[in-house]
Amino acid sequence: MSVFLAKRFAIFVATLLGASVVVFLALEILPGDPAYAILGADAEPSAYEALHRELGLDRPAVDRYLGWLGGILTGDFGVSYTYSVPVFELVVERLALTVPLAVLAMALTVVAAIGLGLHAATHHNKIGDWGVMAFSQLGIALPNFWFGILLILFFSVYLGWFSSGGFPGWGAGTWPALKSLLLPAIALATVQTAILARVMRSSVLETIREDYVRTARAKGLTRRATLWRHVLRNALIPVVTVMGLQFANLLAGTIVIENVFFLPGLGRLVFQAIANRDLVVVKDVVLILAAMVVVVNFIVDLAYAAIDPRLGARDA
Amino acid sequence: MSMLEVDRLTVAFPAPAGPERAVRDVSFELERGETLGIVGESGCGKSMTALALMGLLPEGTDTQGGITLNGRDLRTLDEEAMCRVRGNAIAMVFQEPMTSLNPVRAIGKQVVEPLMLHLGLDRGQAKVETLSLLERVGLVDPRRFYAAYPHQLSGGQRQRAMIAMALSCRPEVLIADEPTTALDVTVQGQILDLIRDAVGESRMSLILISHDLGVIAETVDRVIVMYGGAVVEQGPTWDVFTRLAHPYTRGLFAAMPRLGEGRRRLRTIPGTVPELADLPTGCTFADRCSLARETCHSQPPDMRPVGESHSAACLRLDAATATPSFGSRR
Repeated sequence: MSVFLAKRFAIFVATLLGASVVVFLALEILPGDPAYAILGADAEPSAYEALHRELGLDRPAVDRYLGWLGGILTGDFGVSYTYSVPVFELVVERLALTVPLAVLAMALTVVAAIGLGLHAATHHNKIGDWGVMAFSQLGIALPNFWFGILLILFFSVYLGWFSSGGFPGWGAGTWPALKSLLLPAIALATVQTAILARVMRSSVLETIREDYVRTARAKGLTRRATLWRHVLRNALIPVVTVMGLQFANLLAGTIVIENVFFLPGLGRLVFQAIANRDLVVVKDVVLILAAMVVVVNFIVDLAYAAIDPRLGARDA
Repeated sequence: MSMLEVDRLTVAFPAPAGPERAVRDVSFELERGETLGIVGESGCGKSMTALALMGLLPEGTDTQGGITLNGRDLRTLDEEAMCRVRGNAIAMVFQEPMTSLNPVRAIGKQVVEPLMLHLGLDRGQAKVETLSLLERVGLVDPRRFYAAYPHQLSGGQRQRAMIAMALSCRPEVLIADEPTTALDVTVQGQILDLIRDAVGESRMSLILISHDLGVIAETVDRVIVMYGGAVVEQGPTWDVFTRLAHPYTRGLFAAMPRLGEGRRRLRTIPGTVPELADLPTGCTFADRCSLARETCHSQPPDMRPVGESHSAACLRLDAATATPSFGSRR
């Protein structure tokens, strides 16, 4: 197990290093000078020169890259130009919204997808199956920001059940905060559910045909008991794989959805930082997003080992 | 009345070209403690007969005929009642020990299931019983095997675990479908011995399905030869093996490689098994039979006596038994 963890940690570090190079290079190539963005296009040349130097933009790229990386390693994420606060504080504050949003969306996805997939598989070629497949086809085709707007129109504007956007903060109480995250989470989860339900359905259909399922029935287990005890766990293996991949998608999805619902989360932060050329923030946030994806993949690997004893034996 | 009576069992699968009748008018009886072998090529309907007995044929299958166990017609039971029969009164050991056990559950957890389900044992009692079962089927150090996962076991060990599972509720009928086919030759004998001992000790009845005539000859009292979904010959094993009557049974024996005959091409039966969706009106074996006449192609053969309780379905039985068979030649 310790070998497994060491290997995982090496992959974690390597992925983040790779991500840091890519982010840094992308922002080097991207046009737009932060000094101009801060001062405006008609700034005094002397003021521009001064700010340019103050931001360290006159130093060579390699210098600046190493400086940035060294800062992160010592816990210094730099200071945002636009907010004039340490990026670390900014990010922690925003994560308090984005992480619960992503977790809520993923939880909705998993529960709905496993339920729908099981229902479709056990009603194979019947109305229940067709219904789930039709929903899934529709769900895959929906862009989540558009679906988010529909949800606002119906639940907030027409029914008035939810506010149409914004976030009261966790200080306002758990329920009001969760309530404001519910619609965005549903918007994010719908597309994911549509895909994952399909994976679950085909995985269950495949598992049902396995010899050990016939063995379970030959022991006298009912169809239902066989499904719960012998089909479900085996069928979850490919579902967990897709879940891991979806999480990365989900984080990208939050950038759009947080803008639709005016949520002050990490996605909205990075969106605004790009618009304002607040490069320190962009670099740090992208790196944090990459780290989150790698951590989730690690959790997925642990889940594999928990589901399938054959994998644990190979890595230990 | 026999313990198990199968009366004109017919199994048909829906197929684009019309229903495929995988089993046709199969009838046999099995007494308590008796051992019965079913022999035939793959696709002859022997496994389908077994699954029909278990009530585990795929959905949409059309099953006709009667299956009576101790006077109770299993065909009329609902799914719930049939669940109480499976693994309890009739248990089954499958061909592929590598895929017949759930890979993500420990062996013990899988053997425990029928005990808790049918005998109403609690988890603790079931575990004690399972440990003694595992030991009985030759998995010494049962605690280790109880906690082990299928991938940690060899093929022979997995089949032993399957047998432990099948024996757990002391079934009246044990069905073993090619139980040794997927195993190494050295292990095959051990597994057969295990099945034979278990059957002998508890007076349970055995239906052993195999394409291996050697396995059948060593294990069962009575044998049924199936071809194209139907019974073509049946009788006491010794009688059938010494007085091969049906041309197909003879072909099956002739195709068996034997020591002491030098190196020569193995004999085969010419032609292929008939399409189940398009069976000939007459004898299904006629197209491959060297003795076939006009009538064989048009008239379905009925079972005719060859000896005492030994019969075969062949219109040319006289011609077939007139030539010496392998059995009598030896």
